[in-house]
Amino acid sequence: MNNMKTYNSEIIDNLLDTITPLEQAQTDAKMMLAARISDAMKAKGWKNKDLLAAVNKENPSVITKWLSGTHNFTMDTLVELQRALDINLMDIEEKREDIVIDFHTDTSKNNINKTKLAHIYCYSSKSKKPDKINCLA
Amino acid sequence: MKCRLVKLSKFSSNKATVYSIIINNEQNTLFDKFIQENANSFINELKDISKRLVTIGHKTGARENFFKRNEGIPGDGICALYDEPGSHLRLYCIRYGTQIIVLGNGGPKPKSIRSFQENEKLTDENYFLRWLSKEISKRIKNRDIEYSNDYLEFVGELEFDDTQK
Repeated sequence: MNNMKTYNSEIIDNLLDTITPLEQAQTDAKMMLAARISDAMKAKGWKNKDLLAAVNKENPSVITKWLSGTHNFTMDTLVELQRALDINLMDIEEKREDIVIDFHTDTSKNNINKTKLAHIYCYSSKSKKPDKINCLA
Repeated sequence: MKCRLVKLSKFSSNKATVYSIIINNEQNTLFDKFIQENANSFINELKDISKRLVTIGHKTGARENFFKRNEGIPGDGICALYDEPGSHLRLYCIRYGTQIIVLGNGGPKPKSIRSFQENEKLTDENYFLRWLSKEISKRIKNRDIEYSNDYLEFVGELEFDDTQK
Protein backbone atom coordinates (compact mmCIF):
# COMPACT_ATOMS: atom_id res chain seq x y z
CA MET A 1 0.00 0.00 0.00
CA ASN A 2 1.38 3.39 -0.93
CA ASN A 3 1.04 6.42 1.24
CA MET A 4 2.29 9.94 0.81
CA LYS A 5 5.88 9.12 1.61
CA THR A 6 6.59 5.44 1.00
CA TYR A 7 6.05 3.82 -2.34
CA ASN A 8 5.99 0.11 -3.03
CA SER A 9 6.47 -0.42 -6.73
CA GLU A 10 5.28 -3.59 -8.38
CA ILE A 11 7.53 -2.76 -11.32
CA ILE A 12 10.59 -2.60 -9.08
CA ASP A 13 9.49 -5.72 -7.21
CA ASN A 14 9.20 -7.67 -10.45
CA LEU A 15 12.66 -6.58 -11.53
CA LEU A 16 14.21 -7.40 -8.15
CA ASP A 17 12.58 -10.84 -8.25
CA THR A 18 14.78 -11.68 -11.24
CA ILE A 19 17.96 -10.97 -9.28
CA THR A 20 19.43 -13.95 -7.45
CA PRO A 21 21.03 -13.60 -3.99
CA LEU A 22 24.36 -14.52 -5.59
CA GLU A 23 24.07 -11.72 -8.15
CA GLN A 24 23.22 -9.23 -5.42
CA ALA A 25 26.13 -10.44 -3.29
CA GLN A 26 28.50 -9.96 -6.24
CA THR A 27 27.36 -6.36 -6.67
CA ASP A 28 27.58 -5.79 -2.90
CA ALA A 29 31.15 -7.05 -2.93
CA LYS A 30 32.24 -4.83 -5.82
CA MET A 31 30.74 -1.72 -4.27
CA MET A 32 31.97 -2.47 -0.76
CA LEU A 33 35.49 -3.05 -2.07
CA ALA A 34 35.34 0.30 -3.81
CA ALA A 35 34.12 1.89 -0.59
CA ARG A 36 36.95 0.32 1.39
CA ILE A 37 39.53 1.56 -1.11
CA SER A 38 38.01 5.04 -0.99
CA ASP A 39 38.06 5.04 2.83
CA ALA A 40 41.69 3.94 2.87
CA MET A 41 42.60 6.76 0.50
CA LYS A 42 40.83 9.26 2.75
CA ALA A 43 42.65 7.90 5.79
CA LYS A 44 45.96 8.53 4.04
CA GLY A 45 44.83 11.91 2.76
CA TRP A 46 45.28 10.68 -0.80
CA LYS A 47 43.67 12.01 -3.95
CA ASN A 48 43.16 9.84 -7.02
CA LYS A 49 46.50 10.99 -8.41
CA ASP A 50 48.30 9.73 -5.29
CA LEU A 51 46.90 6.24 -5.71
CA LEU A 52 47.68 6.40 -9.40
CA ALA A 53 51.31 7.11 -8.58
CA ALA A 54 51.42 4.45 -5.86
CA VAL A 55 50.35 1.73 -8.28
CA ASN A 56 52.46 3.05 -11.15
CA LYS A 57 49.57 3.61 -13.53
CA GLU A 58 49.30 6.40 -16.05
CA ASN A 59 45.64 6.65 -16.96
CA PRO A 60 43.64 8.47 -14.23
CA SER A 61 40.41 6.89 -15.45
CA VAL A 62 41.50 3.57 -13.98
CA ILE A 63 41.13 4.98 -10.46
CA THR A 64 37.68 6.37 -11.27
CA LYS A 65 36.72 2.93 -12.53
CA TRP A 66 38.04 1.20 -9.40
CA LEU A 67 36.13 3.59 -7.14
CA SER A 68 32.89 3.46 -9.13
CA GLY A 69 31.92 0.10 -7.64
CA THR A 70 31.43 -1.44 -11.07
CA HIS A 71 34.88 -2.94 -11.51
CA ASN A 72 35.45 -6.66 -11.36
CA PHE A 73 38.84 -6.69 -9.65
CA THR A 74 41.44 -9.29 -10.47
CA MET A 75 43.42 -10.91 -7.70
CA ASP A 76 46.56 -9.19 -8.95
CA THR A 77 44.96 -5.76 -8.71
CA LEU A 78 43.65 -6.44 -5.22
CA VAL A 79 47.09 -7.52 -4.03
CA GLU A 80 48.58 -4.41 -5.61
CA LEU A 81 46.02 -2.18 -3.89
CA GLN A 82 46.50 -3.91 -0.55
CA ARG A 83 50.21 -3.18 -0.66
CA ALA A 84 49.77 0.39 -1.86
CA LEU A 85 47.14 1.28 0.72
CA ASP A 86 48.37 -0.96 3.52
CA ILE A 87 44.96 -2.50 4.03
CA ASN A 88 43.43 -5.95 3.80
CA LEU A 89 40.94 -6.27 0.95
CA MET A 90 40.64 -10.04 0.82
CA ASP A 91 40.78 -11.34 4.37
CA ILE A 92 42.63 -14.48 3.32
CA GLU A 93 45.09 -14.52 6.17
CA GLU A 94 45.74 -17.98 7.53
CA LYS A 95 43.34 -18.53 10.37
CA ARG A 96 44.17 -20.24 13.66
CA GLU A 97 43.18 -23.84 13.45
CA ASP A 98 40.80 -25.50 15.80
CA ILE A 99 42.78 -27.68 18.11
CA VAL A 100 41.30 -30.65 19.85
CA ILE A 101 43.05 -31.59 23.04
CA ASP A 102 42.62 -35.01 24.58
CA PHE A 103 43.91 -35.67 28.09
CA HIS A 104 45.15 -39.15 28.85
CA THR A 105 46.24 -39.54 32.41
CA ASP A 106 48.64 -42.34 33.00
CA THR A 107 47.56 -43.79 36.32
CA SER A 108 49.31 -47.12 35.91
CA LYS A 109 52.70 -45.72 36.79
CA ASN A 110 53.25 -45.40 40.46
CA ASN A 111 55.48 -42.47 40.65
CA ILE A 112 57.47 -41.80 43.76
CA ASN A 113 56.23 -38.29 43.92
CA LYS A 114 52.65 -39.35 43.32
CA THR A 115 52.55 -37.24 40.26
CA LYS A 116 50.64 -38.29 37.26
CA LEU A 117 51.87 -38.08 33.73
CA ALA A 118 49.46 -36.51 31.36
CA HIS A 119 49.82 -36.69 27.63
CA ILE A 120 48.23 -33.94 25.70
CA TYR A 121 47.51 -34.80 22.11
CA CYS A 122 46.97 -31.86 19.83
CA TYR A 123 45.18 -32.59 16.58
CA SER A 124 45.03 -30.08 13.82
CA SER A 125 43.84 -30.30 10.26
CA LYS A 126 47.38 -29.96 8.95
CA SER A 127 49.22 -32.51 11.04
CA LYS A 128 49.04 -36.12 9.94
CA LYS A 129 49.74 -37.36 13.42
CA PRO A 130 48.75 -35.69 16.67
CA ASP A 131 51.49 -33.86 18.44
CA LYS A 132 52.13 -35.39 21.80
CA ILE A 133 53.06 -33.11 24.68
CA ASN A 134 53.97 -34.50 28.04
CA CYS A 135 53.31 -32.66 31.21
CA LEU A 136 52.92 -33.43 34.86
CA ALA A 137 49.52 -33.18 36.40
CA MET B 1 1.98 20.01 -13.56
CA LYS B 2 2.54 18.87 -10.02
CA CYS B 3 4.97 16.34 -8.71
CA ARG B 4 5.90 14.80 -5.39
CA LEU B 5 8.77 12.85 -3.90
CA VAL B 6 8.12 9.32 -2.71
CA LYS B 7 10.45 7.01 -0.84
CA LEU B 8 11.18 3.76 -2.68
CA SER B 9 10.76 1.10 -0.02
CA LYS B 10 12.87 -1.66 -1.60
CA PHE B 11 15.97 0.48 -2.07
CA SER B 12 15.81 2.56 1.10
CA SER B 13 17.36 1.29 4.31
CA ASN B 14 19.77 2.33 7.04
CA LYS B 15 22.50 3.59 4.70
CA ALA B 16 20.52 5.75 2.31
CA THR B 17 17.01 6.73 1.35
CA VAL B 18 16.15 6.49 -2.32
CA TYR B 19 13.34 8.72 -3.56
CA SER B 20 11.73 9.00 -6.95
CA ILE B 21 9.11 11.35 -8.33
CA ILE B 22 5.44 10.94 -9.16
CA ILE B 23 4.10 13.39 -11.72
CA ASN B 24 0.55 14.63 -11.07
CA ASN B 25 -1.52 11.71 -9.86
CA GLU B 26 0.08 9.06 -12.02
CA GLN B 27 0.48 5.57 -10.60
CA ASN B 28 4.14 5.17 -11.46
CA THR B 29 7.28 7.03 -10.51
CA LEU B 30 9.85 8.33 -12.97
CA PHE B 31 12.07 5.40 -12.05
CA ASP B 32 9.22 2.97 -12.81
CA LYS B 33 8.92 4.63 -16.20
CA PHE B 34 12.68 4.30 -16.70
CA ILE B 35 12.30 0.55 -16.17
CA GLN B 36 9.24 0.26 -18.41
CA GLU B 37 10.78 2.26 -21.23
CA ASN B 38 13.98 0.23 -21.31
CA ALA B 39 12.92 -3.25 -20.24
CA ASN B 40 12.72 -4.64 -23.76
CA SER B 41 16.16 -3.58 -24.90
CA PHE B 42 18.24 -3.27 -21.74
CA ILE B 43 16.89 -5.63 -19.12
CA ASN B 44 20.34 -6.69 -17.88
CA GLU B 45 21.42 -3.08 -17.47
CA LEU B 46 18.26 -2.38 -15.48
CA LYS B 47 19.07 -5.31 -13.24
CA ASP B 48 22.60 -3.94 -12.71
CA ILE B 49 21.23 -0.52 -11.82
CA SER B 50 18.70 -2.02 -9.41
CA LYS B 51 21.35 -4.14 -7.71
CA ARG B 52 23.50 -1.07 -7.23
CA LEU B 53 20.60 0.85 -5.73
CA VAL B 54 19.93 -1.98 -3.28
CA THR B 55 23.58 -1.94 -2.23
CA ILE B 56 23.57 1.83 -1.85
CA GLY B 57 20.50 1.79 0.39
CA HIS B 58 21.52 -1.21 2.49
CA LYS B 59 25.31 -1.40 2.53
CA THR B 60 27.35 1.55 1.34
CA GLY B 61 25.30 4.73 1.13
CA ALA B 62 25.32 6.98 -1.93
CA ARG B 63 29.04 7.53 -2.12
CA GLU B 64 30.20 10.23 -4.48
CA ASN B 65 32.42 7.85 -6.44
CA PHE B 66 29.45 5.72 -7.47
CA PHE B 67 28.04 8.60 -9.51
CA LYS B 68 29.11 10.46 -12.59
CA ARG B 69 29.09 14.02 -11.36
CA ASN B 70 28.57 17.36 -13.02
CA GLU B 71 25.62 16.36 -15.13
CA GLY B 72 23.89 19.59 -14.17
CA ILE B 73 25.13 23.00 -13.10
CA PRO B 74 27.67 23.38 -10.29
CA GLY B 75 26.16 22.65 -6.91
CA ASP B 76 22.81 21.27 -8.03
CA GLY B 77 23.71 17.66 -7.24
CA ILE B 78 22.64 16.31 -10.63
CA CYS B 79 24.55 13.16 -11.47
CA ALA B 80 24.19 9.85 -13.24
CA LEU B 81 24.63 6.47 -11.63
CA TYR B 82 27.76 4.75 -12.90
CA ASP B 83 26.88 1.49 -14.52
CA GLU B 84 28.77 -1.46 -15.87
CA PRO B 85 31.42 -0.68 -18.49
CA GLY B 86 30.03 -0.67 -22.01
CA SER B 87 26.45 -0.12 -20.91
CA HIS B 88 24.01 2.16 -22.70
CA LEU B 89 21.59 3.48 -20.10
CA ARG B 90 21.93 6.74 -18.27
CA LEU B 91 19.88 7.24 -15.11
CA TYR B 92 19.77 10.78 -13.77
CA CYS B 93 19.64 11.44 -10.04
CA ILE B 94 20.01 14.23 -7.52
CA ARG B 95 22.39 13.35 -4.74
CA TYR B 96 22.26 14.87 -1.24
CA GLY B 97 25.35 13.63 0.58
CA THR B 98 25.65 9.90 1.05
CA GLN B 99 22.24 9.51 2.65
CA ILE B 100 19.68 10.70 0.10
CA ILE B 101 19.24 10.32 -3.63
CA VAL B 102 16.32 11.26 -5.84
CA LEU B 103 15.93 9.13 -8.96
CA GLY B 104 14.60 10.70 -12.10
CA ASN B 105 14.32 9.15 -15.52
CA GLY B 106 16.93 8.84 -18.23
CA GLY B 107 17.38 6.66 -21.24
CA PRO B 108 19.88 5.16 -23.62
CA LYS B 109 22.78 7.42 -24.52
CA PRO B 110 23.79 6.55 -28.07
CA LYS B 111 27.50 6.01 -28.56
CA SER B 112 27.30 8.39 -31.49
CA ILE B 113 26.77 11.44 -29.27
CA ARG B 114 29.20 13.04 -26.88
CA SER B 115 26.89 15.13 -24.70
CA PHE B 116 23.37 14.40 -23.55
CA GLN B 117 22.18 17.69 -25.04
CA GLU B 118 22.38 16.01 -28.43
CA ASN B 119 19.54 13.71 -27.37
CA GLU B 120 16.11 15.23 -26.76
CA LYS B 121 14.89 12.63 -24.29
CA LEU B 122 18.01 12.83 -22.13
CA THR B 123 17.91 16.61 -22.25
CA ASP B 124 14.28 16.70 -21.10
CA GLU B 125 14.91 14.31 -18.22
CA ASN B 126 18.06 16.13 -17.17
CA TYR B 127 16.49 19.58 -17.25
CA PHE B 128 13.46 18.42 -15.31
CA LEU B 129 15.76 17.31 -12.50
CA ARG B 130 17.65 20.59 -12.67
CA TRP B 131 14.36 22.39 -12.06
CA LEU B 132 13.42 20.06 -9.23
CA SER B 133 16.84 20.41 -7.61
CA LYS B 134 16.43 24.16 -7.64
CA GLU B 135 13.00 23.88 -5.99
CA ILE B 136 14.28 21.50 -3.32
CA SER B 137 17.20 23.83 -2.59
CA LYS B 138 14.81 26.77 -2.16
CA ARG B 139 12.73 24.79 0.28
CA ILE B 140 15.75 23.62 2.25
CA LYS B 141 16.88 27.22 2.47
CA ASN B 142 13.41 28.31 3.63
CA ARG B 143 13.17 25.32 5.97
CA ASP B 144 10.07 24.04 4.23
CA ILE B 145 12.13 20.88 3.81
CA GLU B 146 14.53 19.72 6.51
CA TYR B 147 16.66 16.66 7.03
CA SER B 148 15.52 14.10 9.58
CA ASN B 149 17.68 13.73 12.69
CA ASP B 150 19.66 10.88 11.13
CA TYR B 151 19.93 12.82 7.84
CA LEU B 152 18.38 9.84 6.07
CA GLU B 153 15.12 11.47 5.00
CA PHE B 154 13.57 14.69 3.87
CA VAL B 155 10.91 16.01 6.23
CA GLY B 156 8.43 18.65 5.17
CA GLU B 157 6.66 19.75 2.03
CA LEU B 158 7.57 17.27 -0.70
CA GLU B 159 4.98 18.31 -3.30
CA PHE B 160 5.98 20.69 -6.06
CA ASP B 161 4.22 22.67 -8.73
CA ASP B 162 6.20 23.32 -11.88
CA THR B 163 4.04 26.08 -13.29
CA GLN B 164 7.05 28.29 -12.67
CA LYS B 165 9.28 25.99 -14.70
